[in-house]
Amino acid sequence: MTHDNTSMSLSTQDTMNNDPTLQYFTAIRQQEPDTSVAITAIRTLLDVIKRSSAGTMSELSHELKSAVQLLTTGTDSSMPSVKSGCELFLRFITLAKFDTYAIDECRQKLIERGEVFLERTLSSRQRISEYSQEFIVDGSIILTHSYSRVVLNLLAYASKFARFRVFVTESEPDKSGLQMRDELEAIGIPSICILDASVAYVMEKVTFVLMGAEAVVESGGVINKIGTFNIAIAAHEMNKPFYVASESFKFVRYYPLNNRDLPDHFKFKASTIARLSEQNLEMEHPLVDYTPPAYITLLFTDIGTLTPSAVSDELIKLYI
Amino acid sequence: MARIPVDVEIEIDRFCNNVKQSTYTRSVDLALATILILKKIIGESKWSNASELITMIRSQAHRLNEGQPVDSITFNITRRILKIIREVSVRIIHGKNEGSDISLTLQAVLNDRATMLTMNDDEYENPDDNLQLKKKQQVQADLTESMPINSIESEVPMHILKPELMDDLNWYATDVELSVQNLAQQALAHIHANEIILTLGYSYTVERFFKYAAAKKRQFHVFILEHAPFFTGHKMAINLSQANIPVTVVTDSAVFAIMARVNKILIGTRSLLANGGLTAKSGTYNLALAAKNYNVPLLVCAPTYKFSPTYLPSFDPVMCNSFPSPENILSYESLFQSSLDIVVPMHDYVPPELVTLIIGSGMGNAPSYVYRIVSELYSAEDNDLERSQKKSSR
Repeated sequence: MTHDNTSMSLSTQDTMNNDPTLQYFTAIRQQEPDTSVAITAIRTLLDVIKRSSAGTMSELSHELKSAVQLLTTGTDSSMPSVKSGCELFLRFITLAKFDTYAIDECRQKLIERGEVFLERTLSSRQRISEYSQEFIVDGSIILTHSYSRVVLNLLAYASKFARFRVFVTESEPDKSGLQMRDELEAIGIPSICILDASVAYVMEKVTFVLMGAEAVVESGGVINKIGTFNIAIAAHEMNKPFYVASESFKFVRYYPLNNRDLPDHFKFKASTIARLSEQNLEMEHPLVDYTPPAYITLLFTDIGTLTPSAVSDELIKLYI
Repeated sequence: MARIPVDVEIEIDRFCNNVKQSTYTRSVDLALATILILKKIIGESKWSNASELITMIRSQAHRLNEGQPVDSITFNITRRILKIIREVSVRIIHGKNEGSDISLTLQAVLNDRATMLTMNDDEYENPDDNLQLKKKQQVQADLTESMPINSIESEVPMHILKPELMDDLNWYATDVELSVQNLAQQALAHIHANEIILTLGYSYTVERFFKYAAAKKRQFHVFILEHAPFFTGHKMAINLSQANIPVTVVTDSAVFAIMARVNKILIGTRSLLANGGLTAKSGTYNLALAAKNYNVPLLVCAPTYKFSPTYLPSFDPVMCNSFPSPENILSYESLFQSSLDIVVPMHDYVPPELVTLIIGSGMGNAPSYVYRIVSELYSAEDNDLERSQKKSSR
């Protein structure tokens, strides 16, 4: 689900390669491919605070904002995840209360809180697995889409308590479903890789559909790898539950009205946008799509099992 | 450590037996009995502070709710009382109402409240490594323990907590006692003159609802689905006709045929799930689908103690259901061989898309709003009550 090819235009490549922020980010992506992209972004921002020589809070916040800008345009990683992770972290900074005005103490406090935040988010996948475990019953046939670490973790945990089978869609254009199938088989879960086109054919056999998400939007809908909306429509038509597993830091403050309404930097890699002008983007295949909340039965998150209507409530609570 | 005296133990056993033998035919009676037994446990046991009390009730929860499905009234009331205890403790400490429980929300993660040991800012006075250690411990505690206990509550001693708590519990019991009455008083808003209203089987709440409207001289006609194989619809018909309400009894299979003539549907339910779905008498799903087809509004009467914070893990009707004896259908003697399987499910799951309005003790709500009510009624920390029950029974 993440597109990590860092192929960029030559003119900006030098400055990009020298930038310590980007170097840190890409280093983690390469060394720890299992970590969520949003967490990697948060760790990068924490690193920016540690390295910062800013004299005032507003200078620090400016440095962070330009780091976020760099991450969203300079890398080819999953844009919605990076954006939501960064936004949440920045929100964290603006919400912090300080007893003193000395920049070093403030920075120290930010680093502490950042590490606590990070630690809590690291446990989110485990919590998701625990909350959703009751929904996976013996004999289930689960349909999933493409490669999702959250879903992998969830199914690995559930396989200790229940026996089930998995259908994984191949998920063009990067065929990441094959990797998902291999990893599931390695855990011992019988899985079959199916063509994207055979989703409707297979839907009648399926017990429920389980997806990950790149971002969860304010309406309660999700932004996920292209093909998710197809599956959601088929599941809705055949009355099959459609579940989404997502950490709470993927909740993003954005309200798309339809698929056309998604911004370009979500749909295409940063390198693609840099390469082509707006006219030519119409000929490109988008990498993500938006699934409206009406097609989603439940969301499994680390803050509990939520209905799509509860997502906006959580977001509101966050931003007051 | 909390201790339960012997006579309270006997009462608990008696309560459990009553529940198993279905002595309580009306849900409001079951609700009141549950509150009574919990009040007894709180009133007569030895405990020294709020967190001990909460631990004790959580450990007794599996006994009180033995054999009950997770969305049962006993579970809901146990959770409600745990929330009341937490609310009162916070009120005592902070002198005002805290509002909804925020321990698991995004805001808590951001404001770090879930990992802070107290809600004051004096933590910043502590040396850094001590702080890190405490926070790490709290994070670990949240993850590994199945019963996360906020240590604020250990600061609330019994002698301060108990009188306020018993007061609140008495209010709650009165509330529950009057819940059906309060619900019935909304009848005039929903039942209009010369309407044809469809209902299924017998429900005490719905009966009171209709009787209130009739007492206020509203003219309307009720169609009652029999609810085979238990035929509780017959009892409903007799009770309503005694109040001079014109009644027609209809077979379950004719529901689609008569739906075109019906103005609205009013039913009770066994419980209301957190997504707005229902677990109601078998035959309700049929009714709901027919209603959807003809665009007839489906109104559900559900007092607050029927709201459950749980979700149904599977929509398979055989999986999450109870099956009483099939004696009504085919008697034991009439079967020569046992190669016959008779399936008599008690309940149906009705998805939230088919429900129009939920009439609660206060006002009418959309099914998509139920999650909000549920988050206000119960604390998120008690959502694993049934999981700790499963663990203890393994």
